[in-house]
Amino acid sequence: MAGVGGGNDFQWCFSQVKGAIDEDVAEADIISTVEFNYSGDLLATGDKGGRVVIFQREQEGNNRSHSRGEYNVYSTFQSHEPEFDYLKSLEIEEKINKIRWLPQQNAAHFLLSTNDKTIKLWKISERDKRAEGYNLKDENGRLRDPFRITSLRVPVLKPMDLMVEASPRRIFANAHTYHINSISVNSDHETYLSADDLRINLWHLEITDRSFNIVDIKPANMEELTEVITAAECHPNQCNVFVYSSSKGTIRLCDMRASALCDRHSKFFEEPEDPSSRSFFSEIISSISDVKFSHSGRYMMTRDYLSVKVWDLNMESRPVETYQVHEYLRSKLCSLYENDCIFDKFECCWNGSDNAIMTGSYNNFFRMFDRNTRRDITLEASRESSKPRAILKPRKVCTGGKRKKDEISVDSLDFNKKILHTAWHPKENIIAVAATNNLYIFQDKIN
Amino acid sequence: MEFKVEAHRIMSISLGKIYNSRVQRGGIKLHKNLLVSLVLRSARQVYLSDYYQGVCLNAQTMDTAQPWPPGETMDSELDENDSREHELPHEVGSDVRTSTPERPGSPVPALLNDAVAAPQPVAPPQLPSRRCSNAAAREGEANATRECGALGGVESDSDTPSNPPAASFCRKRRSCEKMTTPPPESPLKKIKQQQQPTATTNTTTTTTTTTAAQELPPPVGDGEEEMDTSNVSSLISIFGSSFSGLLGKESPASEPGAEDSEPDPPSGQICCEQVLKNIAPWSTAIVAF
Repeated sequence: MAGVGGGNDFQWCFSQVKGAIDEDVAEADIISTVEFNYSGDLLATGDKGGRVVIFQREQEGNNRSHSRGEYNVYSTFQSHEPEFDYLKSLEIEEKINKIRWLPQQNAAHFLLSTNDKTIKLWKISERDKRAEGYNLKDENGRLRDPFRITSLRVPVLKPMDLMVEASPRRIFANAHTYHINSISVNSDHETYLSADDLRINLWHLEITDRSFNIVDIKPANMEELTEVITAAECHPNQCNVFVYSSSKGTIRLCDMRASALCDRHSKFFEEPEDPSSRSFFSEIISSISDVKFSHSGRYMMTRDYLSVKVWDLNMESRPVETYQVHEYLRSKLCSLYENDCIFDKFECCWNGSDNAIMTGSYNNFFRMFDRNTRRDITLEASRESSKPRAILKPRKVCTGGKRKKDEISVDSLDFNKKILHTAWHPKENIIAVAATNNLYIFQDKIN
Repeated sequence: MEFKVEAHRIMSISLGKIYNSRVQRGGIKLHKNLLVSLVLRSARQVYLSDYYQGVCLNAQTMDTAQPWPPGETMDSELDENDSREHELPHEVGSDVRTSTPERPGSPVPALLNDAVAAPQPVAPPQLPSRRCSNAAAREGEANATRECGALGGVESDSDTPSNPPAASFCRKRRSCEKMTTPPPESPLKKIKQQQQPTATTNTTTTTTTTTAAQELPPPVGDGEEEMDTSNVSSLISIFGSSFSGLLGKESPASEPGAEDSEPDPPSGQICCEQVLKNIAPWSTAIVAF
């Protein structure tokens, strides 16, 4: 079957799955963010326990032509710990909300990771040599008796087993009263922004004791609060431009050259609501959970509860494309409200060439849309289809009437198995899909 | 009718969520609570408008009682509620009541503000009965106008955060008793009872929405009022005081006016009308009687 994201012969295959197979999932192991670095060689995941696990792609030195390099664990470290705010008697969760890589400038890798309150800059560096042949200490590190030394030698560097060290280089704390939902590295590679529910701050990567507040939507009287900031991102190549989305389904584009405080937007993107589809939950499902610029910077994509929309930055009145992710849920909104699923924040991502987009759904399904052919496909991340290089079979949800073979009915969907976080390799057709505590990696089959 | 049931159910669920958010790890999530409060507001609007239509219909047909669904007794709810009297619902209600009203488009109860800004645990609320007596005492001396105005909103003189909703409910009844001739009182009660929709089976959430059920005197004479969702009704009226800015046509700018200093002290009759305006859905019914 023709796939999405490439040519007509394109098909997705299972590559790897990381994580425990246990039915009993520890809450701390639930993956909360997935991000490829700029080259795609590194894949970082953050979990609810505050840990970051980085996978590295193996070099394609081996002769197997039918599979590309696999991702193996490169580094694991505890990024954030649970904290307690004594002043407010609040516990601060250690869950990693977002990871963003910095562009690589030297041999080390840098990433930003954030929980609800604190952002940390981590340096991940390799050590693969060590010095041997010291004069004053022996191989075990014990000091040698100076009187026993009869000759001098020059220590030499010998290769050792690769050791990957992660060290926190900067800690950006105490700048957010509300929960941080986004961080985004600017294209100038010097600054980044962090957004919480009501404010957006601009930081310099070198300076931890100061940040500039550039957006503040907190009303003077909190009872007048009608919307919050849900996501923010810097433009990929214009370092003065950023966007932020709101819980009301609007996106504001701001230009930092216009004024120091970007409370007044430069562009305002909103699609008029369809009055025929109003319900109790219209406001909830219009809340935008993710916003992502295309790599080109010409478009941006927003995810609300039921759909993904692609916007042209030059047109504010409505999106240029709208894709329904799981429209069959529209009649189930009340149940989804009861079990809290309606508050799930799905993310979305572009492929490297901006002609395909991907987002997650329930029952471990994820959806891909080809913008050129307008084809879409639903795939499942499951252990059953986890044989190496097994081609993923497209799935279909039966919305009513007779259920065909291989279709699954809406009522059989498992709403506890949700795919909120997905990532697409910046250059190749490799995707990483987080299904609760497991990370699935799929890649295209070369025909 | 189904809309009302649905709306009522959604309101109960929403209140339950707001409650649970206070004990969740990581603190109160502003975004989620904002969305829940929006749903609560929408459901309340539907609920009240549905009720309003129902009452109008009843008034026109002179039909004073609606059949109650069996199995819902006020007594049983009261028993359940006894133990919960001092718990969360008061916190929820009390926090809501501390919101200085009513600007249009302010869906977020002050509880969020309190919780986010300075989440001290709410002081254990005093016994509602005591509050009521305080209220009554205050009523005796205080300016009737001020109270009437305050009933629609929050009493501006109240600084304590833990002002149980019982107080306001009590006062509404008492001020009506004082201001109007006795007959309107029983219709008022009757209408309150009629307003109570069929409670859903979601008992866990309905019990969390109990407020001052104990305050209401047992229904008089009418053999059909077994059911209770006076709890939710009370909550609705309390939330009404906080959300009245959102009610739009139901409580327009006159309310902030009533909150602030009254230009001329109205007579008891006018005061009652103001109160009734604030108890929006009941106003038409009472006028009809």
